Amino acid sequence: MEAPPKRSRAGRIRSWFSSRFSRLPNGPAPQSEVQSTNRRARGWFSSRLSDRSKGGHHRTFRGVPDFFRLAVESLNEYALITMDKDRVISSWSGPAAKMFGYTEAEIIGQNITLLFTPEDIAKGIDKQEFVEALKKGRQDDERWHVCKDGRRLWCYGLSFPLKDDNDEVRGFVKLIRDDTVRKKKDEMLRDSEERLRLAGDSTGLGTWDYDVSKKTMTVSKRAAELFNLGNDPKSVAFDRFLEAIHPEDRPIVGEKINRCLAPDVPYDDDMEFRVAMPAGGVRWVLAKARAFVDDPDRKKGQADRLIGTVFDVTERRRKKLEAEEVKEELETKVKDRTSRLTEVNKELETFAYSASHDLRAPLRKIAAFSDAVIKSAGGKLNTEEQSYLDTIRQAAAKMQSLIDDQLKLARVTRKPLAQDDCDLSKIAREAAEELRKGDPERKVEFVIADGVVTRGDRELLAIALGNLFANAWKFTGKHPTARIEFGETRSGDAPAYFVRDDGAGFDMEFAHKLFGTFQRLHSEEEFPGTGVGLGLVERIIRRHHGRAWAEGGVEKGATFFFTLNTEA
Amino acid sequence: MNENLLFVEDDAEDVQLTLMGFGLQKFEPQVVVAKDGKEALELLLAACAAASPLPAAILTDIKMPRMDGLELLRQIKSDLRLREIPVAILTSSDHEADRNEALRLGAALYLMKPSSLDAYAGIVPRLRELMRA
Repeated sequence: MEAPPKRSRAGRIRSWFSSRFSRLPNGPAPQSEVQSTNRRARGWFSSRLSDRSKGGHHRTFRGVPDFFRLAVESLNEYALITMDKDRVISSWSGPAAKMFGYTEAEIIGQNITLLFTPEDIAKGIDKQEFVEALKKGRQDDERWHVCKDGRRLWCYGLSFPLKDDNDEVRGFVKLIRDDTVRKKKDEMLRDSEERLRLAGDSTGLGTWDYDVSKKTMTVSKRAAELFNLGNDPKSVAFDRFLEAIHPEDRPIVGEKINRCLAPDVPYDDDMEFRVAMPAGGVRWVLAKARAFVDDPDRKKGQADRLIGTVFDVTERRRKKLEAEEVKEELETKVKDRTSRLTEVNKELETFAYSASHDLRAPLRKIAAFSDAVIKSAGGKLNTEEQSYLDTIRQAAAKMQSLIDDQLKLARVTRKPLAQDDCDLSKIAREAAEELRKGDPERKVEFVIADGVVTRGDRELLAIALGNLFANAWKFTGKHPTARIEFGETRSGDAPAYFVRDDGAGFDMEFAHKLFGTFQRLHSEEEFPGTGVGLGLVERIIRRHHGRAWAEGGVEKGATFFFTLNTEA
Repeated sequence: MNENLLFVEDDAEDVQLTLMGFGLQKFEPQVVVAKDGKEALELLLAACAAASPLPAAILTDIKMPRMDGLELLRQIKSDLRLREIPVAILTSSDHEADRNEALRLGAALYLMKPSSLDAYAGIVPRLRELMRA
């Protein structure tokens, strides 16, 4: 096969060899010697080829001058093989031995076909390759080759004919690079790209890849769509990508990308930004990015590649905003109503307070003037008249105590809540002592647990406990002896405090009415009172975020419980 | 003993009840009634100007129009000619704040308006003592 008339690749390489050898360093060597070295180099190929054709002994690289040998051997990743015209191997470089497992002794004199797969051999590819090399001056290929142990390597190969000074083909050179690992990686990448594409297609996720040095973005079809980059452009200039971003978000996105690329920062980030739509309006997208550094030394950690995903979040954002709006609206409403309610409550309290206060003066006068009538009549009133006036005075007094209670309630509600350490046992003992002093004749046993302590408003808790004790005292009043107990128990996880008596008790059916202000379960004749006591207790406990409740039965006594800081 | 009493009270019925209570104790001082603090102060200043005798004591309500009892008390105590007159408060206010303020300003007594004539009579000895001082 004739070589093309123009300078072939093989020729260039040969002349490269020549020029390299003619420009050997370490100048002192005389030109003639260099030339002779040059000749020897060419002569080596010639002699190798001619030796082989003559079936002579096999020479190796050891016969080649050191420089050439070093050059060839330093091509670690490349196996360099020379063959004669019949593709019989005449030289075999170190890397070739490493790559395929054959020693020089084993392979020299064998046909290159030995390295081809049976499938390729069947197709005649082992021969065809060199026919093509002759025809075109060179032949690139990628294919499987077979090692001595049967392993297959995916190789890149470059073959070209070797010609002598008369341009006569003397054989071939084949350079082989083992790309098995790269191929595997490529396949894996292809697989994962395929998987990513599948995932992207099914979830609407787009992928993109920003090559920093080339300033280009490679985008998946979906990413192109989401970034509004036209109909599946595969790759766009980075500036074109930036243009697609809403002008207001552009600086932030640019800044974020730079931050991602910067050295010494976590390489992951995500950002939500707007893509301007041609018809007006925007699309919100969520882009996630991860930076990669191909060569960590090159720019001191500055990433040269940013790979990421992109997802349409317009709808999600709209819903979120709507939800936020609704929430905000609701919150405002609740706030408005709460503040209105607080206001109304305050007004009511103020009204109750001042009304109670203002009612006292006329009541006082009713009582005092009734008194004045009795005094000025000086015993001239008949029994009936005297009794009417007494009733007026008693009614006024009753109303006075109701008003006083109302004022107490208002005060309990209005007083700022203190946070004191409270010894409830001590408070209970004081309450008991007070009651005993009021009626020392009564036979009442007080059983008060020691060391019951809590935190709360001491003054208010004393009012609450005092009322519970007074309640127990009152409702045991019809029994010859009584027992009143104070202690601590549990309600769920929280401590609960109780006051228990063995008095008149109550019907559980009406238990819910016990704590109602001015609600009474007994008649005034039976047990006098305004019904405010337990109402006060309930209010005080509620102000302490606690709960008050009662258990009992008719003539079976009653137990009043309360917790503190257990309710919202 | 000077038996002049300045009684500052805007409620005529309260005036009546108080005097009835006094009557029960045969306590019958020369009582001048002023219907609020402003009128009381005017009376006092006029007496000073005319060099007339000043009351032996002042009994005053707190809640009144134009000038309340606490302000009247403040004015009296800041006037060198008047400051020695003992002032008793007779009020329906049981506010701690009112009581504390009155005592701080120099009130000699803080009395709650009672709801029976006997109770009104009960304040007489303390007033007598005040006027004797």
